[in-house]
Amino acid sequence: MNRDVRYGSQTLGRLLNWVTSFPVNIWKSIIRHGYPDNDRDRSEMMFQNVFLHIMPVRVSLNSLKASFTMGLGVLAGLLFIILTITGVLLMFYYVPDVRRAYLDMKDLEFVVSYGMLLRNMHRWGAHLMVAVVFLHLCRVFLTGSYKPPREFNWLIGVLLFIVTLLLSFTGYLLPWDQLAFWAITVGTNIGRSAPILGDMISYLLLGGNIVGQNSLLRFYVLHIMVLPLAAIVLMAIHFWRIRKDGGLSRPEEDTFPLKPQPAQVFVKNPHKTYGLMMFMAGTSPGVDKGPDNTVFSVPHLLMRLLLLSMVLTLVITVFSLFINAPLEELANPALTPNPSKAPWYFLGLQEMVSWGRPIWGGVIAPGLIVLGLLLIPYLDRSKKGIGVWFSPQRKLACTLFVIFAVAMIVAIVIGTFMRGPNWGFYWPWQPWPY
Amino acid sequence: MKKLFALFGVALLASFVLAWWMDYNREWKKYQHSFFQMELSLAKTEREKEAVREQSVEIKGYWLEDIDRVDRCITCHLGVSDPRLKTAKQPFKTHPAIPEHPFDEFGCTLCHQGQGRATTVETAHGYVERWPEPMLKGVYLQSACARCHEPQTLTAAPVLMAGAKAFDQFGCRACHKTAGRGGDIGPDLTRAGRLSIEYLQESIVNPKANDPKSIMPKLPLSQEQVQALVVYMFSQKDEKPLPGLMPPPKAPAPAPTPAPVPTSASE
Amino acid sequence: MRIGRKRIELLLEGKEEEVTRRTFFGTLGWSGLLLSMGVAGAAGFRFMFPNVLFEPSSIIKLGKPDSFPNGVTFLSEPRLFVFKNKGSFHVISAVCTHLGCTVKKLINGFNCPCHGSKFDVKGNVLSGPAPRPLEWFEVRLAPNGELVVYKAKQVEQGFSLEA
Repeated sequence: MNRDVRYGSQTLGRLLNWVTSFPVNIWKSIIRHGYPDNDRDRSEMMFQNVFLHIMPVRVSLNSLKASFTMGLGVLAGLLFIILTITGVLLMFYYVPDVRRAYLDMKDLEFVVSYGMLLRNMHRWGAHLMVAVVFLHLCRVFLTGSYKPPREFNWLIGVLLFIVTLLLSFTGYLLPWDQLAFWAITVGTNIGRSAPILGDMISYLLLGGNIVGQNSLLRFYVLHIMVLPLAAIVLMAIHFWRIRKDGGLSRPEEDTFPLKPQPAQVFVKNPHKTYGLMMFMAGTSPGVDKGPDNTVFSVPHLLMRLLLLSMVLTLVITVFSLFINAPLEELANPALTPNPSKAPWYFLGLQEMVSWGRPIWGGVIAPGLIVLGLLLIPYLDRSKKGIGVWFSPQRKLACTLFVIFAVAMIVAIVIGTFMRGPNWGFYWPWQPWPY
Repeated sequence: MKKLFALFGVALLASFVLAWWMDYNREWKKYQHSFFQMELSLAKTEREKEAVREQSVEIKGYWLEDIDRVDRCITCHLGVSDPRLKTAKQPFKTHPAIPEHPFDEFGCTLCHQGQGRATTVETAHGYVERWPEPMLKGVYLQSACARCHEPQTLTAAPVLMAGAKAFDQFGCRACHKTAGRGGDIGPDLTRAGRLSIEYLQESIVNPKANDPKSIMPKLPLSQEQVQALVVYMFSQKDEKPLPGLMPPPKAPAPAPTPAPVPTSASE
Repeated sequence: MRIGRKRIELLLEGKEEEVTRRTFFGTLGWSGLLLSMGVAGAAGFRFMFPNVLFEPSSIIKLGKPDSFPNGVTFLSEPRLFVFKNKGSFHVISAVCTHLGCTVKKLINGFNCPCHGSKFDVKGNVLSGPAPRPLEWFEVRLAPNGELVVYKAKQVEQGFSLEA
């Protein structure tokens, strides 16, 4: 009997043990590292997690400096996530049908819980993303970060900028209001002015000769599927290449003076091998390089990312709670609003188009701008001034780029604030004739 | 860093709670609550009270499936079909019954205009930017009858009828076109209803006010005639016909029907 | 909160106040973040519940009694069988009580194409997985002389309206 009792209590103990270790076992099967309060777990947390492993285990202090990157690239990525979430939710209440699209906008505003908030976040987030991606492009140029070995990533970045613009543009048609209808009409007519292929481009984009049901469906599919997929693929390449090109650019002589910190020097252990890292070229994480200017990504990089995403979400949410996204009257092919303006980031283009034949302002000029941007790293092969804002060695390049950027901004400002009926020029304080 | 993290964590929570609160406190809810209160005080028997309590707070509306219109006016104007509320204050007052136009078949905005889908006071009445059809007030309501009815013979809308008659009587068609009929000297008035009431009134009383080059004479019109003409002009909207609502025509086709354009139901 | 190395160092240096302060702000930040994610999730969940529906009414106007032939008429949109036997009407649902397929009328009853339930002419289950007989709906004569079916109001088998 004694044995039975002992046997019984043993079984009970095992059962208890099994029950208590059940959640631990599940947790450990997912997360294999411990709490990141030591260097080993900090490293494992970064490279064992599929989402985190795109970032390095250790990160240069220069890359963490807010004044160097301004967090613009990260902001663009975060905005893409916010736009994806809000966009997917909006799709539940939107039908790309010319008879329903505008009514769905009204219902989102008036009867769907949080509908207007989500639409606002989507619209304002999209505006912000265009601005942030452009500023990121400026930052990369002005810090010379496109220079070898990062030429290809600059190319991908320019493509991402174009995809961002197209995403925003295709999103514009979806509410099927006057703004949408005429922005698309003007946009596709610019495409029509392209040589030889013009008519075909416009016919393909519109799915016909007029802006109608086919166009709405085409722009919808481009907006929710084709372009986001393109953006995701390009982003994956973009982020991957950052790591392969040795992390963010930084000045040759690090701006952070090395402090001798013997505890942090990585010294190769003769009894260990270091895997693939042994075979990698110079830009890979260095073993045996002695004290460097890097810190662990956990918590230094991760906390900054977290904070940045919180600030961004906060700003967009509060802005969207109080300022509604515009929605004009129902699309009316018989009545072109005067003035009829494209979204602000295309007003530079519209300004150029207004000067003469659309082929110059609408096809050749933007084509040359894009081509020029793409070719920059292949034209400028010098390796001077990498990782420094307005490097004195790159005076000419920086001046030219600033002139270009300012010209774009001036054209946008003129288009937004100083163009009235019939695209006439009016000072912002001047009243329009009607 | 920790302090910033704490600050933004709390701020983010606050902003989300604010979003929830703003969404929860929709304007129409307070009207429904006060309406149910009023109904409860009017209810005599326990059974009536129970019926009031069973009603749920929700967005109500007339859905006119055939013409893709939704009028949510009754979300706040809850007493339109309750004969006990003839003297109640708006938004709960009884709407006079019109047997020829049952509310659930015709909705509200076909006659009153305004924005049927909206659920806030300002936007629903349509006195907002970007909504081309603000609610019609007073006698101007009659202009909406011309949407389906021939104004010349519509005794139920006397001001509109007077306006249509005055338009003929003063020979306006000698110079002005409506729906393709009339002279070419003055502007085409087929779409005059898209102008504002003030603008129309000014143009009739003093033709030179809005166009200094106008050669239209000042007509000897009484105040009533001016108003009637404005109502008639305001009814000229060049709209698509509304399928499914008109009874089959008894006499020759009543309203002029321009070719239907297959775009959208509400314009 | 786990005690990290930094905290241990601070504790060893006797800076307990510093430790409490850091812990306090960390806890505040994390709880703010997690709670706001909770609120956002709840809001997203609420968003998925539509506040207005565009669904056909449960009250169906059938028209004048004379417009129906004697026998059974199937109405596809509201999924109903209208039975007319001289002057008396009753309405049986065409929705199978098993998993909602539309049943087919046979000469002497109904059968369901999805999982093979069979019903007699009154809707009683003869065989198959259907748990309940087919539903009977109330039918009334409106003041304008038209038949009206109330799909929200179920009635006993054998109900009929003389019209």
